[in-house]
Amino acid sequence: MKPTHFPFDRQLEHTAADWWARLRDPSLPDDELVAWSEWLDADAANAAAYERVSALAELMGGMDEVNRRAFVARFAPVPARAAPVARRPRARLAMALAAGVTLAVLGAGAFLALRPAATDTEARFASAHAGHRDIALPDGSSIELGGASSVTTRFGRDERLVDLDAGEAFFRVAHAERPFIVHAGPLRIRDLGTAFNVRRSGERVTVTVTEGRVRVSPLAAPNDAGTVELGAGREVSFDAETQAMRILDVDPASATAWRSHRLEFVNEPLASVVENVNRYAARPIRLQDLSLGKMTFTGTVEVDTIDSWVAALPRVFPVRVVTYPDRLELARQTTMARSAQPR
Amino acid sequence: MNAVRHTMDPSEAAASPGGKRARQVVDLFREHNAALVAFLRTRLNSLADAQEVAQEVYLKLLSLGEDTVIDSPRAFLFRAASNLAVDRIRMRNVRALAPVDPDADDWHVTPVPEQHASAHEQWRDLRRALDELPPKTSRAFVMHVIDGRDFAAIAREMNLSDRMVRYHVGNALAHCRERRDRAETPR
Repeated sequence: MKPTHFPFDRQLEHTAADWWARLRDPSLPDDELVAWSEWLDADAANAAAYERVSALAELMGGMDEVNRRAFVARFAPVPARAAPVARRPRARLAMALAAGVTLAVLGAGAFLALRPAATDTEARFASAHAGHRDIALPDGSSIELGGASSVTTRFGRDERLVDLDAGEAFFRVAHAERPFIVHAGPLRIRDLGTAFNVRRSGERVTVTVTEGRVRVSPLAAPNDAGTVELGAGREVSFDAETQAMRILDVDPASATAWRSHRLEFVNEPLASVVENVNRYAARPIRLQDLSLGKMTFTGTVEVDTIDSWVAALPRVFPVRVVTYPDRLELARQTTMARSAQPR
Repeated sequence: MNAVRHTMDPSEAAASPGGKRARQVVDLFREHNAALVAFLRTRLNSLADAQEVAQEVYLKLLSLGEDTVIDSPRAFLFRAASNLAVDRIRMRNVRALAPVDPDADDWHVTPVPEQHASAHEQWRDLRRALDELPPKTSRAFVMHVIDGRDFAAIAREMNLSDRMVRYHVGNALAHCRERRDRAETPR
């Protein structure tokens, strides 16, 4: 049957989702099941709506392990294992309740704010490809965005939350009672009065502290397990695949070298290096063979001479560069393939 | 519907292709296959598994003796499907307990960058959609659909009735679907 497109119908979508939830109950009586199948057969639009909700539920049910843990940690933390937050004064609690903040009251009277207040102001900022952008936040903090990067800020009554959606950002945080928290993929970075850089390539995140201290926790870990505290001159890389944190001593200036148009990497997987360089490259670089991405690179890339950096790669890696009008490809070098490259 | 083609033609499997039972099963199959697969897909939350189990259902019905009396063929079909779905879920749970073969798990170590990026955006958008919901609604939904817990367990933990859990799960699913529609068809 040819797929037919039905206009989006809010009511229908709700009816379909409601049936889906009913059918998930194994004790659903036979007559309701028959009623459902009559509804399904009554109109092709019903069947299509049911197909859409089923597909979405299947997609979400089949989520990978890292995301699954992150969703559960965010939306359904197990109360007994959740990290208790320091007790707030009663007046604050009354105010918070009045403001409609959702609070879970834990056994001994510790309160856990499950999410920011509904009155949060949300703003999204993005920088252009190869561009930088300075953002002054209302609390006096500032964010400097690297190329092709974006953040969403959500400032609520209890916390200042920033999502690093993609790319790289340097944060200079104005001290305030409300904590300043950055979510970067699988990581939560909590500022303890400071300036720091966060670079994100998909689920791989590197946090470098230039002043003060930050606390970094994997979002997926319960009870803040795996939390590390970093001072100035320290860097942590988190790899969501291995859930491993690698801590290095670094020159803080090198992590923020991008602010002066240089990208510096220490033992960074080539896949991540390429992803970062692509935020600036005129022609994107692609890895033909994904296994190349696991090789590690240490060095500096000048963002205005990316092509010559790429051209020099075959001297340090077993790769050759294939040049296309719209992209550069890195291929695995073979003895047969050392001939001149197409130009 | 397309799903019909994925399911074997039961007339070929019948011991007596021209028999009354086989004819009845074939009719049932013609009329209700789409609903049967949709039902199994809901129970198993997997279209591929649903199509497999649908075949098992037909084989099971064909193996019934000619003298078995079936009052309501449709209800009978769903009941048989429901039982086989329970068996399939049990089988899955046994497999989930088995140690993971690290080689079989290797595929996700080197994701295709584009796929990775779009998958990432997809989860981010869904996370935002859930963020917009009341906490109880998103919680019940995530516990059920993403964490795979049944309504009764969620009802106990959240101190709600099963019916309320179901209500929250349906609402959250509709909301996520609506957000995706809005993203897919900008207006």
